[in-house]
Amino acid sequence: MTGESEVFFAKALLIRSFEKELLRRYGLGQFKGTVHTCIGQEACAVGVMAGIDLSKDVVFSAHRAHGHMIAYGCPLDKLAAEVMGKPSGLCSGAGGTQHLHWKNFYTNGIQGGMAPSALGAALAEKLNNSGAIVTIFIGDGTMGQGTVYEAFNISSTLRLPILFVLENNHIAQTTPTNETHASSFCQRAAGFGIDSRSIDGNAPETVAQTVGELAKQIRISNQPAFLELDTTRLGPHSKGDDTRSRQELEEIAKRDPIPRLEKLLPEDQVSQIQESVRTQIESAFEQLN
Amino acid sequence: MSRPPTYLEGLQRALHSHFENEPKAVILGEDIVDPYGGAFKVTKGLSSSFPDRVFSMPICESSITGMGIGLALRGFKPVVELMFGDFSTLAADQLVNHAAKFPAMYGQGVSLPLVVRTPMGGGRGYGPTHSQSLEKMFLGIPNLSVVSPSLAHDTEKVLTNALNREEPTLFIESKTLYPLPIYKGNKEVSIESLAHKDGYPIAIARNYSPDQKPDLLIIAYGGASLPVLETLEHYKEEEIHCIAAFPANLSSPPLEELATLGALARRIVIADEGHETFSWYSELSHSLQQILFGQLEAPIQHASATCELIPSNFEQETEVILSKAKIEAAATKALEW
Amino acid sequence: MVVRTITNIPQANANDQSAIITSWQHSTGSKVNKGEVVCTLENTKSVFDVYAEEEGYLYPLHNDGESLPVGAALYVISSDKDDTEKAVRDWVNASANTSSSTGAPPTKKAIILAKRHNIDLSLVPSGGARVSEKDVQAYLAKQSSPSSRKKAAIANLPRGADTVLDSYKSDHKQNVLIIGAGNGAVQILDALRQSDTQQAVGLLDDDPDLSDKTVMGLPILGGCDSQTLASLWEKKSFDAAIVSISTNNAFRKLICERLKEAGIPLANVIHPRAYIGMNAKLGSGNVILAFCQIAACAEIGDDNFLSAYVSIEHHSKLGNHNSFGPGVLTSSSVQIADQCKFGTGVFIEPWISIGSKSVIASGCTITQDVSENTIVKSTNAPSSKPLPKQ
Repeated sequence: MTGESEVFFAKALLIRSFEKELLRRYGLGQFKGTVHTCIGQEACAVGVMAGIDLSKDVVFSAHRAHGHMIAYGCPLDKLAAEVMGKPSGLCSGAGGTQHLHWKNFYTNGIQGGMAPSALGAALAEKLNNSGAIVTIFIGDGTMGQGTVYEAFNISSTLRLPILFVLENNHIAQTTPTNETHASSFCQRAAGFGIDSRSIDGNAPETVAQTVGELAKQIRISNQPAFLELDTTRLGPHSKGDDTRSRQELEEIAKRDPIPRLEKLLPEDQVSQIQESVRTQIESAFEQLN
Repeated sequence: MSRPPTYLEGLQRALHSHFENEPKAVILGEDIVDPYGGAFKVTKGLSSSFPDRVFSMPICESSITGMGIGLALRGFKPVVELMFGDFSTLAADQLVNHAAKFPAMYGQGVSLPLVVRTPMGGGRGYGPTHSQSLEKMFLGIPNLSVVSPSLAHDTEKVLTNALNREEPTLFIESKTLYPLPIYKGNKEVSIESLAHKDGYPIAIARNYSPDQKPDLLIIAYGGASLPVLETLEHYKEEEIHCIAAFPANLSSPPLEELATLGALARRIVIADEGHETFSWYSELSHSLQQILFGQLEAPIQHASATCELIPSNFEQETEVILSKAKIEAAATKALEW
Repeated sequence: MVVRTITNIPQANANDQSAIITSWQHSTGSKVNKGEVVCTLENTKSVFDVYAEEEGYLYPLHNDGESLPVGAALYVISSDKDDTEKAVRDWVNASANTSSSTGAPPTKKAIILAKRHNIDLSLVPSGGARVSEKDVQAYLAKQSSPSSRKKAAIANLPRGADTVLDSYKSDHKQNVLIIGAGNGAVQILDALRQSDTQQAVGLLDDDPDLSDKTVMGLPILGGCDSQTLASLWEKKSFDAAIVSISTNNAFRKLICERLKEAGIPLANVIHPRAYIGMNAKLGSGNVILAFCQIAACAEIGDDNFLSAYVSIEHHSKLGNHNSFGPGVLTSSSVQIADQCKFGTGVFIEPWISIGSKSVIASGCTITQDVSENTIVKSTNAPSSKPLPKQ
């Protein structure tokens, strides 16, 4: 299994390094606005993208989507330029960190707002008989929005090929999820007649395997599925807005997926990958110096 | 001679030809399939002819609208029906933060051919949450077109143009106009259509012969066209030469054409069905005075609904909403200035 | 003799076409005093009382609960104690047949025209079923002279109304267009800034470099050509014009003639700190800046430019198109013709006469007449040398 781990480690490390570089440049004042990083959640992105068909499937995400975009295969230089608001970016600098589009991938900055669009896209694929499915990433914070439940209901009634991926990092900006949500998310989706599962989102192998299974099932049945990924947000929501205690952060840092993946590989391979990532990051940001 | 089609029939025809000519046409809404065919029957017959492309949806205006957006992003030509215009508030986030954003935000190559249709207006005793004219809430949103045909428009052409323009469009229909035949003119009032580069014609009504000069210009759109046309008929016998202009494109009104008519009449009344203040008429009168400053005999007057709840009680509702009496009161003010 | 007056249903609010009689306060034939409530009416918005306009004996023409159109006869007040209901009704019917007021109402256009021209519609004979626009126009044309029209209009005004029949309201400021956008214009703008009755609306200048620029925030609207002037005048963009150029009197004259030809009035711009004496006469198109004096019985023609501290002493006479630098002081009874140009600090003795197109240099003291086309220079130019070093 070293082959698969090697790929997962390389992609997760690429995402981590890319976002760290963004944070460094933000700190230097090289761009304005905001930047939402997925540090600690890279395995979700890497795992999900390994389980779907990137050649035709459609993906929707929201404000924390750099990881999803990189795992989807988006060119790093264009993504970097977009987050930094440059005309050479994916969306000519109009989008910034939260509003991204490349190929069949769309993000927007309204919590839950993309769920209806994802339904529409799923209906489009169904009507086209394309065999493609739609994957939409949501967060635990999004579960407060009504559109999500409208989407559960409609996807189930209209039998739409859609996979809801809930990245549960247990915190919405600064509010712990258990303070604002009363019941299990999985049960909620199941209540709409949707096949719902909950797994460890920091283990990319498991994520890839489960998503692979669910995607296959969706393609055959035209029925939606729901997957909750238990994960960890190691950084702040955007910049300097983390109110969690050091102790708590140390505790969740133990679940960091990258050191775990690193341990599965021989040292020389690790340093080889680290070197390759460094080169990729350098060349991605070269145009922005 | 056969009677002209009604406002409603024009819309039905436009939808049917859209579905016949465009295999990617789909429609989503509440209670829109036959035999019911929609609360106001605009989709009547559509699901019988095109059963695979007409989707009766649960009651969730935001998702219905949002699905239209997703379909449009992925190459379809969707139409969304919101049963009452009052419910557009529930779709506001989808219209403002999604439909209006995607084409400009995602850059080249992303188009969003979505038409969201909904009826507005009172006069039917439906009460506070089923009688409003809320389109002004969606005016001034970049890249969101707001369109409404008047009774003097060929509604089939206006809706077809909205469908052909392939841009996010909120299409406002009028509950009171649905059953009425398209106004083709009579011995008091003549109708003509002024073409405009956006494809949305301006319907022009006048109650005097072309060799005479107008005393007054009335500008209105959608449902407000009915009391305006009644005013023109009445004013014929009162010897008031009145020209009315009904633009169909509300979000980007044809200012040059309206100003030309305004300069000719030198007295202007603007009528809209929305609640008074912070309204279509106030924006339009601002724009027109920028062009016509110094050329008018009187300040631009307006007629609209008063800024209060629209009651169900018929007499009380009549007091609140736009009426011929309000239009004539505004006209008198302009004429007597 | 019996005097009877009819009271009609009043228009209590703009949207009402009719009213219902709620109750009569007095029975038929009873005495009512002026100001007393006669009856109560109801329309869609309110219930309101009708008050007797004079003292007399009441004859209601309708019963309680009846709905009547606005303008319908409501009751009669008779001066005769012994009048009868039948006599009153016969009289009402008879007067209805002779009066146009009970027929179909005039058209709205006729009403508006009548209001605009301040005429009483009941005096306008109808040529058809209703009094029309044509009838009002014919009536207007027939009125003998402007003065009689004005007299009639004033007589028809309601009590306490203003008698000035001008289209301008009392608070309308004269909108002044300034010709020339140089330093003269700046001084005029400064003077107008302090005016309660005038305001500048824009400037004209032939210099193409100035087009699209502004002067103290005011737009330069075009060149000084006749076409631009005519088009602005046509659009009512201004009420009167003033020439600001003080350096070229021939040009002043040219523009002045152009304006007069186009029928455009010339404004006088007078700084509020200038003094205009008793019985002084002033033409039009004059610029009179701060601290100037036009003394008693002095006469000023048209289109002169007087810089600050210019004094035209009593009984002096100034022609047209002259320009003065600051501090030109004439003594009494000086005569200055046309298109003369004065420098700064010129003194002129009494009874001196200065011919047209003469130029008087700064610092001159004029003690004898100057004929036309003459340049006068001062001979005692001051000499200067450096101060001794300390």
